[in-house]
Amino acid sequence: MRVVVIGSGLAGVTVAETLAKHEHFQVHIVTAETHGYYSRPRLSHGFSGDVRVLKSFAELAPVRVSAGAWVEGIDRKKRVVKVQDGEPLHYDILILATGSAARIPPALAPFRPQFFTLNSLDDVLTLRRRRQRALDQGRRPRWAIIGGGLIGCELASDLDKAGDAVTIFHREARLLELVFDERESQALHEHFAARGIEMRYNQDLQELFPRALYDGVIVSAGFAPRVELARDAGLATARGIVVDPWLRTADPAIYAVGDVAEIEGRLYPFVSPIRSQALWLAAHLAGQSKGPWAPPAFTPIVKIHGFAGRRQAAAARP
Amino acid sequence: MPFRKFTCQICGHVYDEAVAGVRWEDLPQDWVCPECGAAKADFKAEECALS
Repeated sequence: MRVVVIGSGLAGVTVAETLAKHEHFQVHIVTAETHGYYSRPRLSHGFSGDVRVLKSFAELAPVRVSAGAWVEGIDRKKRVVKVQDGEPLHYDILILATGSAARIPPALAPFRPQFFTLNSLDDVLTLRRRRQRALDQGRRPRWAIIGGGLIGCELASDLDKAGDAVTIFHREARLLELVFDERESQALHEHFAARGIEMRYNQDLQELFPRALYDGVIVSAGFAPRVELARDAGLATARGIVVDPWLRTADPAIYAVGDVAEIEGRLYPFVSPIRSQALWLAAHLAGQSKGPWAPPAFTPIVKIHGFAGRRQAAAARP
Repeated sequence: MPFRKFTCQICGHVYDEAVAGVRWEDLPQDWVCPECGAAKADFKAEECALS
């Protein structure tokens, strides 16, 4: 049975590797990524430390991987994935594990070339080059981070640890308001303030302020599931790709898993439930599931240097 | 023996013996990655970074 997986993040790689253990599945990953498999939640700590490629694509064998490949579209009638400059891939089962892009607030979209995001290893490498440029000029790198959510706070913490000057511009009145209660937000504020991180609240930015003050402006304003392929193929999408508790779209041959899967109105953009989905889906396709996927209890970890922050978080609501 | 670090090959979580205060060998066999739930067998002793 031919399985095509689009995407090589935690969801795509886990489901592919697990399925490929069963002999009668030939699994083929198509991905725009070129570096290999790495952990996206670790990217925010890629400045004081390293981001590791955990597995090269070759190490995923017997899973075949088409890396650096862009999917142009899905022909559901012919059950074919069309790949730019490549052979079309026939599938019996298609798994959409396209993950998410950085969400750009509409007001900032026109300024897109003038700021950075943090969503891939390439983004980390770009930001590192920008840091190095400042360091080479004998300056302490200065950053503006737009968005004081999970990625923004983790990134601020890591750039600070690396020695940089950081200012956070947050739309809300307190940091990490979706994860922390007021007391915890206050504790984080004090932790950051003691470190010399500047925080500005209630900043609903409508334009990019004087960028000359900073070596870089990084927008970390949430995530946007990549639903375009599914939508263009005529599948239902909301904030994510709409699937039933069996992770299946309305097309019985097409499933979605990971950041991009919206199950009964909910997204599960955390490591633990995504891994759980991927393992469940592989078992299900191999005929080994006992019931639909059910979200595990999970505790997202907020990775702030020197600050103990672990919180239960409900699934993100669209 | 110096303290070692072990990296989860699933999610990249780093188990640092020095921070945890418990040797890798002394963790129970059913210990799981606190971040993603992977098993002990999914961890690798830390080597050189690739990026």
